[in-house]
Amino acid sequence: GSVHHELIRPNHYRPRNVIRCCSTARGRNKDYYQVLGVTVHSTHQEIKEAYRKLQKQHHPDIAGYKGHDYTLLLNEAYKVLTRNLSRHDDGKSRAGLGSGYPRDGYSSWNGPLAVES
Amino acid sequence: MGLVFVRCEAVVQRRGLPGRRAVSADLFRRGGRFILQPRLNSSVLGGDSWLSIVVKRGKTSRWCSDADIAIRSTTSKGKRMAEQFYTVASDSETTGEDKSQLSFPDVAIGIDIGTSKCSVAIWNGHQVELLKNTRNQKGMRSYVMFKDDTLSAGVTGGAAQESAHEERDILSGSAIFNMKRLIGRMDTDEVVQASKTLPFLVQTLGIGVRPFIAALVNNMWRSTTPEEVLAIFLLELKALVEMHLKHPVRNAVLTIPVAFSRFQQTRIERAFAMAGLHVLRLMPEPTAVALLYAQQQQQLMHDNMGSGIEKIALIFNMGAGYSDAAVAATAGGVSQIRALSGCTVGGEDILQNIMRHVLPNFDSLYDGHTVDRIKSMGLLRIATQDAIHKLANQESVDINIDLGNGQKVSKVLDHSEFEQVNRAIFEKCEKIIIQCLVDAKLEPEDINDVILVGGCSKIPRIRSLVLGLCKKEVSYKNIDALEAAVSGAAMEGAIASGVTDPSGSLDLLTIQATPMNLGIRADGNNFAAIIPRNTTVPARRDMLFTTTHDNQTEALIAVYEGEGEQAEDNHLLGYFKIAGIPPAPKGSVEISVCMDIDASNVLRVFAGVVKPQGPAIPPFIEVRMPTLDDGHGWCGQALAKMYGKTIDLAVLPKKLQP
Repeated sequence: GSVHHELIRPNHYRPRNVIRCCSTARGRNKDYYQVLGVTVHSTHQEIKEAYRKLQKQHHPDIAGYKGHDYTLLLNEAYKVLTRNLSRHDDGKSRAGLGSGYPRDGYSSWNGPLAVES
Repeated sequence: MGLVFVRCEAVVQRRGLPGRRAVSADLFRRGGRFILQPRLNSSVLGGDSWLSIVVKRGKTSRWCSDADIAIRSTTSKGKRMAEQFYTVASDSETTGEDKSQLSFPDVAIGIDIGTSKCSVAIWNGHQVELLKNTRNQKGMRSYVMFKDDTLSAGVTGGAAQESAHEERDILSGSAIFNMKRLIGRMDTDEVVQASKTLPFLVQTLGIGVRPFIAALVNNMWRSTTPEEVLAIFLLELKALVEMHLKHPVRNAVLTIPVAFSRFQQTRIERAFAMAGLHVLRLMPEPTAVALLYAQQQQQLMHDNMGSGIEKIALIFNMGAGYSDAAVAATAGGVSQIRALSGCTVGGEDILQNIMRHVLPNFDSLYDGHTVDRIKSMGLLRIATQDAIHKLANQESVDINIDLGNGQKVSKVLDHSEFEQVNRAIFEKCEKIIIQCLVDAKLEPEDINDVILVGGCSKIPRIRSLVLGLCKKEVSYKNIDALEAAVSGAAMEGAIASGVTDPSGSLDLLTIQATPMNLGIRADGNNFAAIIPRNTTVPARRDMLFTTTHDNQTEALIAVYEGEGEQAEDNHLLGYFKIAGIPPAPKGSVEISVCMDIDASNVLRVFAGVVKPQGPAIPPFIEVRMPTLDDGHGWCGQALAKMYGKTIDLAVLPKKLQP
């Protein structure tokens, strides 16, 4: 038992790290629009372009290991914002989509982003 | 002291950590050695094993090898530690002992090890170039010949010896081939079972251990392993590349089938390490093709011939051992993998089906592996292979062969019969393509281009099947079916080595996805997927679990990979225990299991108790997977026998989660 504790100790900083990662996955009201630099009015196409542009700056293949966490955030934001949008919505404004709107953390009201607070 | 020093920027890459980091540093020279002194927080440099270092000064940059440079460590406050510096050494697995020059460009090469043929490509500074062996072949047969005391692989094809190998020699039992199908597989695997019909010896016990593999040398079976065979092959391949480049080669990007398990990946990395090569990236084969496609689309845009809007390609790759499908969306040089799927059927299965079809007592033929029978099998194999190749271009084909021992085969094979015999294979191909389209949430109409690659893509039925599913008349033309994957790998090698091209032809990025579900065993024997397949990489997901008994103090985390709903249907990657859980009623403790995949595909699993909290809770555990080395078959069973359900976990239902 004690041997194992010796082995584990150097990673003592990990738990906090992991707990933080739990809370992000739980959908803490993060401003995913801000992460991708888009607005609630942006089309699927615009979200996609913004995502790819940011990936080209921050992906670990290009930015090195420091890009890891940021790329995780980009991937999460992109997934949530495009979850309920099919490819056929390209070019259409979000306002008219009604039920296709992703409801994660945001109401379908096209007002300011701080609507929930 | 006679030290010369320059201020520079160093870009370093460390084993186990993906990507590269830039650090500001001073470069000293003492005697014949260089010492890299980082300027600021050097936690990045306090490591043990290094892959590569680029030293940049002004506009010039140089690749340095570990042999040339020592890294002097500093404390986090920037103070130098007295005369203590870390020598930069390769990871123990990469044993490349190079006496390399400070200035050689260490750009990763691209390697495609096929079940049947292998090719290698380099970035020559302007474009990708496929290398040829002395027999002027770009696609070199994948095998290793064991003869007396000399070993020779398919790269030279025995050309260095007095006589070059012919197909008949390769099938004499003295050569090992199909390594890619055998590597990292247990003897319970049906692919290993099917390999027992090969001329060399494959023995199985059916208990979930490595199969016994041997080659015939001087009328004796000499045992070997798929890793050893692959390493011998790679040594020849490495020599070929080094002869061409005139400097040592260290890093490689390797293409692998989508269906390769993580355990198989570690075995293939091991084989590379045995040959002194480090695997910088493992690329699923269709994603390497997608990168080539992305580059071509980017080029079209530069030439103002393309519109620059997103293009979606379906890539189907079928070689001798594996089939893969991928959907990639491409725009602006970014190739985003939307879905991946693969299975272990290929030309080898087609060949075996036809051999069984033309010779009904085929299975009794290989029993015993006597020299006569091996010879008959070889003759049948060559004739059948030849017939299948001919059938791609003609309506029907005659198979006439005298197998010796009074056995003769005389048969006319036409397309409908060929398709009937291989129906199960075509159905599997259909299945992975449909799964890919469904996973990518796309209709056939959304696909812009269908790309067909791999040796079996020449089979008419395969072409019509894939094009039919995608509702296309013709396939994409600008890609060579046999050279695409290795070209993509060489390109990725250049990109991942930090090479930039002034013409912008390397201004590319692949956003990969995970091909298989990753999860743990929970709720009895069920498999709880934590990172589902086709999740964009880098990926990090977590899930909460709870205890199944009152006052349960230990929990087993058994990590699996695969598509099965039951844990046992999947590949076991490894396991560990969480101990010291505070006694509490069942279902009230919360255990978090988090999985993290980085850009170089390294999987880390973190696990620990998150509720209750407090100082009495043991620290989290971090494990790099896979940890298992052998015995996949009985590990799970032994665990179940030993512990029963006493250390089981259950998925915490969403409604109970905060």
